[in-house]
Amino acid sequence: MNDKTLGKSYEKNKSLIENAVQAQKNEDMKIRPFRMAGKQAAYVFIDGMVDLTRVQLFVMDPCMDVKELPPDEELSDFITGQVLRLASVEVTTSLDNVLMRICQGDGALIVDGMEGAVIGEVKGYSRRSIGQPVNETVIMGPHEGFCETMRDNVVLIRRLMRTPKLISEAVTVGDQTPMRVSLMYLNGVAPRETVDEIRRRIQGCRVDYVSSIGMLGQLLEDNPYALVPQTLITERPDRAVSFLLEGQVVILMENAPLALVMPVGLLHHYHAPDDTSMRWQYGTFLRLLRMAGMLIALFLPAVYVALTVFHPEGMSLSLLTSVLESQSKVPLSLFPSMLLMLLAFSLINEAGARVPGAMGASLSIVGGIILGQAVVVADLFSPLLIVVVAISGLGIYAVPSYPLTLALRIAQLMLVVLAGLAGYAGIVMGTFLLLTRLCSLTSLHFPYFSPLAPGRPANPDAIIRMPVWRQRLRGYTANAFRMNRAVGPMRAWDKEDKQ
Amino acid sequence: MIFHGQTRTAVHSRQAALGQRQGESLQNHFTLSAMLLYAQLVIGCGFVLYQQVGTPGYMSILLLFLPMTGLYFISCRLAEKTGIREGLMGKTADVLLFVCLLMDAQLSLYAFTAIVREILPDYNTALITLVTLICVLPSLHRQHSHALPSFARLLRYPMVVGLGISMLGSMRYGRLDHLFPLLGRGAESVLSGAFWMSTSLSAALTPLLIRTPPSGKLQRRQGYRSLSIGLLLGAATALVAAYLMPYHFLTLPDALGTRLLMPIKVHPALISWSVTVCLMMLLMLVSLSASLSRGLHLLSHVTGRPVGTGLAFLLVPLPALSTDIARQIVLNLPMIRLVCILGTVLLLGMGCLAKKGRAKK
Repeated sequence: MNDKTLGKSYEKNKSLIENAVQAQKNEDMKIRPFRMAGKQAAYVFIDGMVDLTRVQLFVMDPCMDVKELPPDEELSDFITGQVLRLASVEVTTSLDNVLMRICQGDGALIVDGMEGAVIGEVKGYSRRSIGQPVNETVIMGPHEGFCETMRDNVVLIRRLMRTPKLISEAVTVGDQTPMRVSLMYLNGVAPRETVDEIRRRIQGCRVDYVSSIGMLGQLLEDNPYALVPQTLITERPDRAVSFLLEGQVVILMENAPLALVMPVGLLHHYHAPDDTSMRWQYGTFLRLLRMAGMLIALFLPAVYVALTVFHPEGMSLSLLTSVLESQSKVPLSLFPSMLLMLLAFSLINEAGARVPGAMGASLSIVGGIILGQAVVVADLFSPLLIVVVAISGLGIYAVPSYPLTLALRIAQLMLVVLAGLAGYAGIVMGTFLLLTRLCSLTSLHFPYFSPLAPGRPANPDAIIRMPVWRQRLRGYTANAFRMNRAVGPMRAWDKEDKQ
Repeated sequence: MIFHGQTRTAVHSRQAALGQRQGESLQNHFTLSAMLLYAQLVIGCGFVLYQQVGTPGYMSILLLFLPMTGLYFISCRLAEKTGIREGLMGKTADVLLFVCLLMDAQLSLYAFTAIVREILPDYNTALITLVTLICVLPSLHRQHSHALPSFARLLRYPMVVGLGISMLGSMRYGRLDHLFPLLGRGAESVLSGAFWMSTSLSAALTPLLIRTPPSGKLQRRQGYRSLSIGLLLGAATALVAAYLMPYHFLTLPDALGTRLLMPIKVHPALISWSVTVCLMMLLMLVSLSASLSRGLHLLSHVTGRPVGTGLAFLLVPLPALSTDIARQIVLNLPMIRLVCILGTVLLLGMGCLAKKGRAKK
């Protein structure tokens, strides 16, 4: 028996735990000694983390009511089987395990003569109730979002997907403060290699503490220096379920009201949660609109700079006259003006995200009136330039993934700089560099542009969204031998349906 | 836990998955080849249409594509069946193919800098060349070898749509009689142009001789379809270019950049002009990187170890930096390419015969 192992001696076990939790200093760490049929016993827990009513009713009362105890060898079986009235109990001799479970909100019972401690689940800390997703709102679809309690999040997914093939594996991450992480996947549909690789990566994270699921994502992704995100974060259980059905793995973490999805490609960031809820015509229209928004956001400011500064010969006379007239009164040249305006726009965005709710109106005034109107009246920027920046801003807002919008903003600035240096040649070189880099990326060894490049068997649900009954395959991330989603026609009632 | 039915199908499915990945690689490989072919045709049109070496490209494409395709198929089959690529003959053939690819890269870089010089006349050629080479450098990295073929595959639809936009925007200005004066120049002129173009084609086909991922007949057929589309697109571009331009435009001794952009300069419109300029530059960049990466791959095979990009970077910029060198290369290009191709075919054929002879003994 080493120092980290609990033995049979009550005094020694109590002393080990007391020292480890520093009970003298920790005012909320409670060690409640009592007698159990004449034997010394103690119940260890953190005040506020446990449900005191449950502790009283299902732990303390039954323990104190025991009249006679069996021999020491049978003590743990007796306590877990006949005394504690808890659904989840566990006997352990590992001090680390005991401490971790106490910190998670469980309680540990030590009894003189019993080897180790009995841990019972009595969590009862205050938690936020399930609310609506804040950042992934939909028009057509459920309105439930994840909360900070991992168990509740697992239940939210299980409630939507009632199948025994849904697996929820427990892993911990963090050396000093281990955080519980749940790997959720659909057995048989998610490739075994994918699950093994994610488990291997999580177990291979050597950090003292993982503060958020975003941090975990950064520790797990293939190319940490790439501009674009290779994991997807969602706060919607229905979206998480749709990823599970595609063979992807959903990672939940304690204290994170979000789920991390791996592997993902660019198209997963391009799709919105309620695309599938809508009829295919509307879904397709919205996706094309979104794609146009992305392209406009990325290229419009750069093309405007390139055309005006380097290639006026490409414009018709009327357009050229209009551009030059609007620019003629402005003291700054177009290239720095564009950069300043884009930076100002990003600044408004960032301030909008951080500003307290009550000050939102002030920000609108600053953004709309001062930046929008005053700079034009004062001839600091041309109206046409503001129109270009505003349209590109709208394009960015159309993108459903926040991390991707940030990537787009950075790429937009880079392209504007290149356009300001070398016109169309700069844009082309920048695009070539950007796209070849993106094509080289992978997410858990799946190419980032799949199923477009390389072309892989997939549903007609990439750029556009065709009818649901034509979506007969799972995603390219699914197990190769479980690709079919349905056998036979999906609209079996329709005799004339050709599919 | 094993999923229901998994044990019976796992092996088969893994093989199928492997086959699928190989098919993907092959398709990407062929798409990149098609893009390289198309780029070479566009550059070829820039020379041929303007009497630099002869007569319209579309004529020669139709006339002499078949013999070159035949040569390609013979070489390809021989190389595949006998497995002689690992021997001395195969390695010598690889060196010859490397020369072809180096020519392609040089021409692509020359065309790219010519276009950039056309739209940015104030910029120094050496600077453009240097920046261009730095720009393609990351795509040549060995670890990202799959990126360029994937990029080519991603680019194919935007490329076709962009070409469609630029062609449709200008078609109303074209006249059918623009095509005919070129055709009536006589056999000698036609044949010389045809010779130039067909060697361009054969040079662009050489990448196919490089080891492709193992694949089935169906995947190979899909790959050939990509190549055919690249070829047809090249022919269509040549036809539309000739259709758009009045005859007197073709007699002007302009720079290559001017010639390549002439069809949209005749009747400029904002969208078609922008789209065409950007697509042309992007195409040249893809062609440059594709030629270089495949050339380096070949050299790596010959030397038996990875070859750095430094060697190619010393040889590629020459024509872009000196107009005289470029002119000499353009004039002698048909002969150099033909020698390389014929040499490759001969070497592979001799290697095959030698191997068969040894097998009989």
